[in-house]
Amino acid sequence: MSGVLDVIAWFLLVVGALLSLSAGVALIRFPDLLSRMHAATKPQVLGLLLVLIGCALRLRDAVDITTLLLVAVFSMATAPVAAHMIGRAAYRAGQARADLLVVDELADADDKR
Amino acid sequence: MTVVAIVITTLLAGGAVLALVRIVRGPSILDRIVATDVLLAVIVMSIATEAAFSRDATALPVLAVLSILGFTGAVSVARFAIRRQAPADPPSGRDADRPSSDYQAESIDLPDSLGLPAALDRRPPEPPDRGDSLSPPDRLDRPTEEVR
Repeated sequence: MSGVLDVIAWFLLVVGALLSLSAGVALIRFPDLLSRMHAATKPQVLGLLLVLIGCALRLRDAVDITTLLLVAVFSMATAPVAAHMIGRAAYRAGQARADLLVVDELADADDKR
Repeated sequence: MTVVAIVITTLLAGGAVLALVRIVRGPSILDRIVATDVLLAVIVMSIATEAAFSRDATALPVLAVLSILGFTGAVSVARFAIRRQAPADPPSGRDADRPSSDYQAESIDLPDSLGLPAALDRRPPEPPDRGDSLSPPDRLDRPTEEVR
């Protein structure tokens, strides 16, 4: 039973680490800030959750799992706020490339800047 | 198990190095914030992986601290970047080039969104003429009502 849990934990850790590498590659190759933000959320939410679940499967202690759950709740509650602030700052600073946007709902707004 | 540890370390280090390259090369400060967030996520994942492999939960409170600290840094630097980069009419405009009244009018949406009390809000009663706020205009009336 514990061997099975260890194998699952290693698999989740490897997948989470793979997501971090993919985010690094995307940070280098993607053209503008909004697409880089899209890539950056993968290790921040999914990769972090996978790694935390893998860590919890390895530790198997109630106190440790509570701490890991706290980390997960913190990061999932704060990541959307930070991403919203960065995206808003990027759009208002003119960093979003207009030719890459499919829909620009703020294009006609008077107070967008 | 050692092979898995080497693979995970290689993947995490690759992601961290590529995020560092974006931090160095990033054309704007917002690119650097995004890359710093990725780097922080990689660091958190590294500490959690180390805790998982050594079955040692000593470093777990560090993860909670890091997840809050990264959020605080990202939000504060994003607010700073709004203030620095909002005047896009001159592309390389600095704060020193503009008169001080414009500077006051631009920094008004800082305290309200950060949840500070209204007594700290020293905004002028008239709405800003630059119109650079995304918030509704009735928000400007609230501090004077609370002062009375």
